[in-house]
Amino acid sequence: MLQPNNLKFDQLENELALKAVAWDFEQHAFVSPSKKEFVWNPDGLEAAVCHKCESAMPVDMKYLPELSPNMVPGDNCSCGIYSTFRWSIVEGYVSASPISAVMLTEAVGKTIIYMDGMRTYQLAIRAVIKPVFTHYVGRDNLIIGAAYQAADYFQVPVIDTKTAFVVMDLWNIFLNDDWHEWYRPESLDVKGMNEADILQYKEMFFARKEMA
Amino acid sequence: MRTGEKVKTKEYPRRVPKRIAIPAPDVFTKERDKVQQPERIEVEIAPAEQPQIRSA
Repeated sequence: MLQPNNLKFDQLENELALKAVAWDFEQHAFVSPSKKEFVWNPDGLEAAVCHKCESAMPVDMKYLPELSPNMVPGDNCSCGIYSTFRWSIVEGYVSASPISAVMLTEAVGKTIIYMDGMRTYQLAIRAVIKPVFTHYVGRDNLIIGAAYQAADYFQVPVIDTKTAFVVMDLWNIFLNDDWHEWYRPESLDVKGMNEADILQYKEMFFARKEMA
Repeated sequence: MRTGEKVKTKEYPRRVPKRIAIPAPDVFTKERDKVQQPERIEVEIAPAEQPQIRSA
């Protein structure tokens, strides 16, 4: 169950979440649905910029970004790249372009975790999610086409929603020992698991990861 | 984007992006965006006849 369609688990390190991207016909690139000037490079790794938080950085650190403290996303700011654990939230961002796709992404750099999502300094695209929900009838071909266009652009595998939710939930639970206090799984399959089932999957997964 | 209640902050290492040039539009996109120019038709226009001025 945890090795769907070439998703490279041995490369995963941090929390996973969902993020929408929209095709921009003028720039011939995938961009943020809510901020057209934020272009996603095909390497699938982008970083947040916040002049307000960066201005609080000590002057001598500004010239050595690799040594600078993690100022973005600021604890008292709303900056950062947003991603969500909820399909109902990400779905609201897929109407910005007729070619929109939902990606499975990994947190990188400073990460502020919330009940329903994350604010991160960087976000890495890991897979594209192909929806299978029936209320898309009539737009199915366009949505599937958009998913494959995103897969081609970012060179990532395509996985279905059910698989994506199970992978995201289990992986996020594996990384957080206190998961049962706050993490609400999105997948019905994972919601139905007890702690013993989850621990069993965790042992199986890490055994496979070590073998890879 | 709605996030809900804050849970925790983690400090993961940053990664260096391996920038890739954004691919040029493919043939399909180029063909679609091409403006269809009307075919040019050469038409010879005969010089207008000079009106004959009749004197009264």
